[in-house]
Amino acid sequence: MSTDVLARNNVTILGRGTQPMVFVHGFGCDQNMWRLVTRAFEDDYRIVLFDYVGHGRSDRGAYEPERYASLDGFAQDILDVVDALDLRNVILVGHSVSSMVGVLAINRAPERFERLVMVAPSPRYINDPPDYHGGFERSDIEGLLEMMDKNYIGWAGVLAPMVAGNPERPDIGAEVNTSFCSTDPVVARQFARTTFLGDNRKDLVRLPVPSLVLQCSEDAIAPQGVGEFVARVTPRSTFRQLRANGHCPHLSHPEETIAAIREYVAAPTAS
Amino acid sequence: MTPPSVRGEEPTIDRLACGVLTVDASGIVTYANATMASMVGQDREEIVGRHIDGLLPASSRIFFSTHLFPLLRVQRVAEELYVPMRTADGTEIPMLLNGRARDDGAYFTFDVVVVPMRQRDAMESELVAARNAAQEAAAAEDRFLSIVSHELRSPLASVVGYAELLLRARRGPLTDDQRVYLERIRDAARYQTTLIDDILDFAALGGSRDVAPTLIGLEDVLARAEGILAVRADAERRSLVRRLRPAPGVVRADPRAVQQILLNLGINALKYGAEQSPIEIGTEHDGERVRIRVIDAGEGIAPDQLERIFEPFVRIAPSAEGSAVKGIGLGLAISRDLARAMRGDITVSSVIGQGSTFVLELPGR
Repeated sequence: MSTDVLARNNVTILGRGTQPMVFVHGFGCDQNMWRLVTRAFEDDYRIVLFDYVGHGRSDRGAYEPERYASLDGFAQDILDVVDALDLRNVILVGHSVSSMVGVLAINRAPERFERLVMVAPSPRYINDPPDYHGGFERSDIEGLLEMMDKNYIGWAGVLAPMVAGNPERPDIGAEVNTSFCSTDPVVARQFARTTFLGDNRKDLVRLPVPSLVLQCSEDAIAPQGVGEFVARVTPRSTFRQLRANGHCPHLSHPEETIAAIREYVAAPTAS
Repeated sequence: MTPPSVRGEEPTIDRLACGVLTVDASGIVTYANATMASMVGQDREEIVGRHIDGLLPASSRIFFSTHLFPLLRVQRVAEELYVPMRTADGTEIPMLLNGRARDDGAYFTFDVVVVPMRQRDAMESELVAARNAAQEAAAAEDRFLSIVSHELRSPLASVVGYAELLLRARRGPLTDDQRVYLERIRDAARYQTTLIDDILDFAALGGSRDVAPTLIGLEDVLARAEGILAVRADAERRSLVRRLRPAPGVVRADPRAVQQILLNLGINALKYGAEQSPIEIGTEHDGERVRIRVIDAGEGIAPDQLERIFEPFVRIAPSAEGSAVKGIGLGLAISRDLARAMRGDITVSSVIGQGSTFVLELPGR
């Protein structure tokens, strides 16, 4: 069973430490999203990376639309990996929607986790007036799905070959595996719906472990007020404002992101 | 930022028929050519120094953050991406985007070109809509078929099971008649199970099915089909007539498939033949080919309908008396596909007012 999960989710294990840090990619890509950040933690932690089923180099045949129709199915992927490796005291780091997936996973198996780092989280992307501004209307999400449909038409043909190599930087082509961002279109569509039409606000209030919210500046996906909301309603949550703008600080500003995570995980938990 | 220009003449980059943008790792626009500015109806100064989000509608902002930016940052190249942009007044322009990452040590920028694609966009929208509609229809059909198959097959499993239980005679001895009747019940239920499976196969595979032809005795095939047909014929006070019994020779065919074809032709003959008229079954064998004829004395089929009846879901209109036509119109389509898969064929000839003759032709060796 455990080896099945490791292959199914394309689990990568790095690092020389003992305490596990599990990094979880968000919507759109795969574990390669973390490549600029994880190295900084390899000396002190056991780094675990994986791809959700249907993403990256996971086993696409294991994809079941019913299971992944809600974020619970993705949370189960996290728990399956944690179980397969029998991890304890896990520091879970989730980007974007995977902050919420992490909340769901920890709520179900709190004994496995020590704390959660949420990178650019949003518990609800659709506005819920008058008090909650998620940043989007339902029609925006429909527009996104249409865009994805058009871009995924030739996804395999257009995007997959490019990753194989970069003529000017062959080392990068080799380092980035050939499946970067080559999510299956059907999977991507369902994940987009599940992500952007979901509402996980009520799941935050019972998070049983301490957490860190990393809020980017000028994040088009998770606006300023959303990160503040998450930190406010989640028990024992720390809010940290990044200078990094955009939605992927681990890609655009890896140094600042590393520093923020390092500072948080180095501090003892007040539990 | 603007490339130097000769006095009085625009630099080449500003005359290009595409928008050119440079964006830094934070998503801030550091350069825009004149074409880009005019396409979005803004001054260059309004674009440069601001985040690229300002040029994107909400859906594109999500796509930029979740796909395009990671793609350029990690993979360093993005090609042929569909990314709508937004003018100052909010109008969306469908754009085709190519981008490359440039890495000068610590400094990281993206060079992006965009080309409007209004007409292609409209066409692609139609393609995507058509594809999505087809996928939804196929999914609905699959759901329907699986429900239908379950509902139709479950009772038949009981019929076959209990008939076999009785045939074991554990509950007391059976008379010869009882044994024959039970076998016919069992065979008819099995046949119907096969038929349901084949309807599903036909729907799933677009009409084709794997067959495994083997050499079988012609008389075996005919007797078995007749045994099942006789029950229905008796009930309708009709008779099955055979000129040559036993039929000599062998045929190269899949036993299950050939039985299914014969039952289908026989049931059609019962369905469309005149009241109390006999069904005639004849055979011909010339060594190379075997022909099995199923002849009814019915109303016949109009010449312009002769080929149409082999198309899926086509049925001949009910007769003037309004006798309802049963079935869903797949029988002949499935039968012909099966016959052709066995390197045979089914043909029909008909005389209005006298009846129709269906000929199943199969390899004779």
